Amino acid sequence: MKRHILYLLSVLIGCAILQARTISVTGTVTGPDDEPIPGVVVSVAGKKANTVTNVDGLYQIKADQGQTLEFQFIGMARRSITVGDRSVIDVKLEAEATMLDEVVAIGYGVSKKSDLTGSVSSIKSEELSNARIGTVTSALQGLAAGVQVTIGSAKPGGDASVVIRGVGTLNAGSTPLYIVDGVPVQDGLQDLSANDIESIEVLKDASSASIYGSRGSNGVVIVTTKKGNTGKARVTINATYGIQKMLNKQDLMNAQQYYELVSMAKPDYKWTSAELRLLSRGESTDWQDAVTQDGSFQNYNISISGGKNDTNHFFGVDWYDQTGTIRNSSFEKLTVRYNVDSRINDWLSYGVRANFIESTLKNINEESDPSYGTFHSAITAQPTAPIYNEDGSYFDGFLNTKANPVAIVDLLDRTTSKTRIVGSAYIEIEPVKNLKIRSDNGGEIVMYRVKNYEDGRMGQHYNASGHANVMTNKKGYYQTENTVTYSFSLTDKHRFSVMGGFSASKTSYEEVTADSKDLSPILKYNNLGGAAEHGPNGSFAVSSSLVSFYGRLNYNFDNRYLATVTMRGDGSSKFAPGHRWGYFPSLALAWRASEESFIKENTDIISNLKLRLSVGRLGNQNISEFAYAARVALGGSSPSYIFGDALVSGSVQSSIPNPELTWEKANQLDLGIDFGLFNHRISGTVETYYKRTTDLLWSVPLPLESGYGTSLTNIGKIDNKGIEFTLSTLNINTKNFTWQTSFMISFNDNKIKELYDGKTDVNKSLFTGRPIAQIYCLKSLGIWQANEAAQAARYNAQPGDRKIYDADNNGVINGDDRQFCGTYTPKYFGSFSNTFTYKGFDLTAFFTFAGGHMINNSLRASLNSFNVWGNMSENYYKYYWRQDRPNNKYPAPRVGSAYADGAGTDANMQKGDYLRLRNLELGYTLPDQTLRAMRMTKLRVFFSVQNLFTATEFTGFDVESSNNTNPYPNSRSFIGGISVNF
Amino acid sequence: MKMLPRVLALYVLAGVAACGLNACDDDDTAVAVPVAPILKEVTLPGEKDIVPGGEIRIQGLGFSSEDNVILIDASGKEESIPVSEVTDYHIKVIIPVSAGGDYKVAIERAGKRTVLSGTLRVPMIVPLTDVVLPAAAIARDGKVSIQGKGFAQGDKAVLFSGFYPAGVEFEAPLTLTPEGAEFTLPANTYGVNSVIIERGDRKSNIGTVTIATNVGDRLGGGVVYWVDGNKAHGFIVNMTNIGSGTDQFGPERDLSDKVAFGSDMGTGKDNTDKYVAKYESLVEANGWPEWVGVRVAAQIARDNSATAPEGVYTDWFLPSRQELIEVFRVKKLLAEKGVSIAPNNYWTSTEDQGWSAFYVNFYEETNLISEICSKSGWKIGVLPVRSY
Repeated sequence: MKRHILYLLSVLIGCAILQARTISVTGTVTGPDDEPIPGVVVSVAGKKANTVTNVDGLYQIKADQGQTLEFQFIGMARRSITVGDRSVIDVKLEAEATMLDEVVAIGYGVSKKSDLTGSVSSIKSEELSNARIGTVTSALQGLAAGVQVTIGSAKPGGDASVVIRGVGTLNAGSTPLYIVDGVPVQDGLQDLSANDIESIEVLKDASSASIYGSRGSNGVVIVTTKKGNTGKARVTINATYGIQKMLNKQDLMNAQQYYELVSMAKPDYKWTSAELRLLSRGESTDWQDAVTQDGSFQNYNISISGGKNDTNHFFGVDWYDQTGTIRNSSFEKLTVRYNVDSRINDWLSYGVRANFIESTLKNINEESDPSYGTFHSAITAQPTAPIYNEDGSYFDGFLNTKANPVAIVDLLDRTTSKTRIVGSAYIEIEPVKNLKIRSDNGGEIVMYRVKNYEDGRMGQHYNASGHANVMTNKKGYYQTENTVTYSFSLTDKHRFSVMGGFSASKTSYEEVTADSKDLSPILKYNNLGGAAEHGPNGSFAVSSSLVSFYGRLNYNFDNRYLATVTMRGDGSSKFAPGHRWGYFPSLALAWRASEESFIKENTDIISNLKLRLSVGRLGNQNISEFAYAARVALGGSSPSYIFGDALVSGSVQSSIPNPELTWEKANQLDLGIDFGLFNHRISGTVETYYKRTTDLLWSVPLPLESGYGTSLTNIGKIDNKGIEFTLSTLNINTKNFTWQTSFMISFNDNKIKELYDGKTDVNKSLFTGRPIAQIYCLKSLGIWQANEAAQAARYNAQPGDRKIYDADNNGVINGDDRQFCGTYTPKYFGSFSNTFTYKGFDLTAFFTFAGGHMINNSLRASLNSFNVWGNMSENYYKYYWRQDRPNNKYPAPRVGSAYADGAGTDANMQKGDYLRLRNLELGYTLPDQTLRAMRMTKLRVFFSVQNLFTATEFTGFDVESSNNTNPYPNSRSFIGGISVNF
Repeated sequence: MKMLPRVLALYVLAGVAACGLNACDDDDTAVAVPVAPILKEVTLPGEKDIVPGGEIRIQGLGFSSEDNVILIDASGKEESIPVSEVTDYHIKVIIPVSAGGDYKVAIERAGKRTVLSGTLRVPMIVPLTDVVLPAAAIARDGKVSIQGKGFAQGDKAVLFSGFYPAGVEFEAPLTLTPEGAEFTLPANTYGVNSVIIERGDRKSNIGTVTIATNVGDRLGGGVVYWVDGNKAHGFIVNMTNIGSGTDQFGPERDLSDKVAFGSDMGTGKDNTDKYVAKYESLVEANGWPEWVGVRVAAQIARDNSATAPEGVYTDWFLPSRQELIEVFRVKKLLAEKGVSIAPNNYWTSTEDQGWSAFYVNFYEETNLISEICSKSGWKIGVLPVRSY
């Protein structure tokens, strides 16, 4: 029977083929709003021939009757329509909740999303618009599960830090590897223009990242920039402008409150005449206002793309200009990109990626000791101090940082200029079908010029006659990547793809610094030779290289069972001979259950269900060059000696060798489920992972009698375990109205499993069985009350002083009384967003959140206790402990009161939980018929408010800031913009 | 074009939202309310540092160029005084010429006032400026012309000196002159005198004048027998020798008890005082019967007194060797002026050894004999002198 059926089918198909004739099919492709869509790719299934719709959504293509036409457009579900006897086929595309056939970048290749076996998060460029101010790195926040993006500094040009699936190292850096168009880049994505980006893929598990071997243990972020499409040239212009208002200004004492409190608590306080005059006038200096302003932001971008005769190009220019909310801080950046791809003939193609970036950052004062920084100075400067003396000079009688905050912002000239050139060129040959040999060669040159001039008028902290220094450095990275890829099928069901490759790279770095004092305030750092005092000056250079072999095998059985085997071997010059080669294998398996007939045939609910499993090993080599060797330091801080009558620079061995030094190794297991329901209107991913890092690179303390402080050694283990959940829903999808929601949350549990010899490192708060960012401190129990005077006296304290928990009850408060007080790392983080569209209007609300961690609000140490060197909070003034108003919050203003400022205790720790409306954006896109009249393909205007509100218990400047002592305040941004396509 | 209203509406909406959201963050601008000037570490100058009409410095922190300084006298009367300089560490003001007595000082700024603690004591002086007294000696009946400004009708000069009998002052009314003022020297004044100008309760010491003296002048309770080159200072001998004429110098002692070393002009007073103190202490310590109740030459000279028109002089002493020799040299002139010195040997106050002292032989007419002799073995005369 079965044989008969097959025979009948063969006859029918044969008849159909015999009867088929070629016709010219035309039609209009429209979207959910019935508006024509230009740029839709229309192709005949199984054929190379294709076309795209024009600005009116019209297409024309030749096809045989019975063939299938496929219509593809980003953001729309692909449709396939069989050509019958109609010559006009109008098609309506629907928005696609999940694009399984979307192609995503993986290391050294691309893959259909449906074929992925590893954990890869894909981010489209339009999603980056939730952060219009700041870097692309910061824009990643909340866009990928398991990717923790922390906005470390809100200053202009400030970048974010990215940690993927928890910190797995103590000493070797937790920054992921960033690859832009195949080239690893320094400093993440901070210099990229978001408008140049086509997509970003985050490789999170061992299977996907192991192709990058020794550099992949912290995850990999792959950026693919835009390229032109064949067809009509496309011009895109984006213009954005906004203002920024500083957030979370601290409520501090005014001059009168400060005077009253200090006069009472420290009668011998030495007031200056200028302060007394200001007090008499009834005035108060608001230093926060004095050093801040409304910031502004503008970003202009133009791109031209297109293609003709097998050559496509993309040219983009982007200008970003931001003036900070702290005066005299700014960031401007010019980005120019040119991408070109050309197919010379059927078997040879080539392409070039070129990116030039020039940026200038005018920075605030960020000294190594943050308590001397610009904003710390402003926060703690006494409000009784005037900005200027009566003769117009800067007042210089400060107690805190010995510097006038306004003078700092007026006179400090700290400029960082950066020039970056990134580029690559590839040539690809396809000698036989599906065998591609590709050589991609490129590199990056980054040059920094940091110029610094400190004017003596800034205050006593600075050299009275001026101090300038210049640092220039140049980093060069050059690589060659050579791959061979062959895809083949043994039968219709067994499909293979094999890739093998070789790469070599070299990194070089050189730096020169010059430092001078007593010099012209006009010429500043531009004429160091004219200074009276020189030095210390210095220079150094270093280089390293990496040689790698890698390979990957993908196997696909009937689109149901998928397997990927990856192996990479890396040889790094950073390790000692004999230990330079490391091998990083991985295996991933996936089962697309939704392709099984028992699901396909029995339910319409499940549109996608894939189970994934991967295991593998990754490495980390982020240590300094020659760390394995015994290094000899010459000059600098090394001791000099007298030889003859001359002072000779001494040389000392500065480090102990470790010829056994080798890679950190991260072994990772990943389990994931990708699902789609109701024709992908609900889709998501649930994923769990377990990563154990061994052979940690750690500076082990040595006995002092050894002559060395520490030795970099492979010791210990760290575990990271976590769960990630991503959900996208298309809640409403009607002709005029749509509502989409996305939600993602990630949990990570970090624990040190083992340190050297099973020891802990109390000084660095590292404990076996505890997270890396463990907080280990004394516990504050509030304030000693009047009826506890006798107990307080046991600790040489008195009512009004801070009460500390005496864990061992021995009557002495010391390091032995420290307790575990939480962790600095969030236990969970994520985002959710809602996007509504109504006709041409769109409204997006994008929230980010994190929690389960603590923040050391170090500003509270000075603001919430009495100190004799600067201002305090208004709350402290109102509520400090007094006999007649006892409380448990703020110690009495008593000089010498132990632990009053809470330093070393948990008194300044605050919950870091927050929920932030990061972006609220309202846009309007003109309808196509209007655009056609204006000869445009798209025109959208929008208004966006960023950081509209943040719900948190944290009382500092910003719940995400990494520096709470000298913070750069975050801001609320009001942005308007227009985007035009021709 | 009908889309234009929608675009505009969007931006108006956006603008309203921005303004609304912005307004939420606006701070309430605090209005400064001045308070009374806050001043610290204030120190008022002392009376000796204040001259009416002059500038004074009030030390302290917090003074301002906007400050108005007010003096408040005991009756509550206020007077604003000019400020000449303000720094971070002091304020300088001009004290009115008419000021005198105790004042409170108030600092007024922006309508608010702070009264400084302490009292500003302005001395009660006659405000004179550019005063110059004659440098040369003036004859005893001459006029003293004073250059200067600020003299007023009714002012008078008061002359005094430490060598006059206690409490003796000489007054002379001033006559105003184009250069200043003048007055006639009162009778019986001599030597170097301090001059005070008095006007009601106010007094100003303007310096000294020298009234010339000559050998042979009858004044100061005796007769001048020696003057210096300026005729400003000199020595006066008593009108006659005193004592019994057979007085002893004192007991013969070891050299270590010698205290009266001076033999030059100007050392007799010191010799006398030291020897009397020494003698009295020796007698008290040793209880020598032969010296109990015995008044030696130095004591006799010191106890002398002489009455003059201006008062009684009691500052006599036993002259040193040179001081007595000078008497011997002009004894003839002195005799003409009424000084009666009996022929005798006279003690000087100059000791030689522990056992001896110098004398001068007044038996001789002109031949000067001044030798040593036993302090106790010789019993001779005493002739007191005084100086000015």
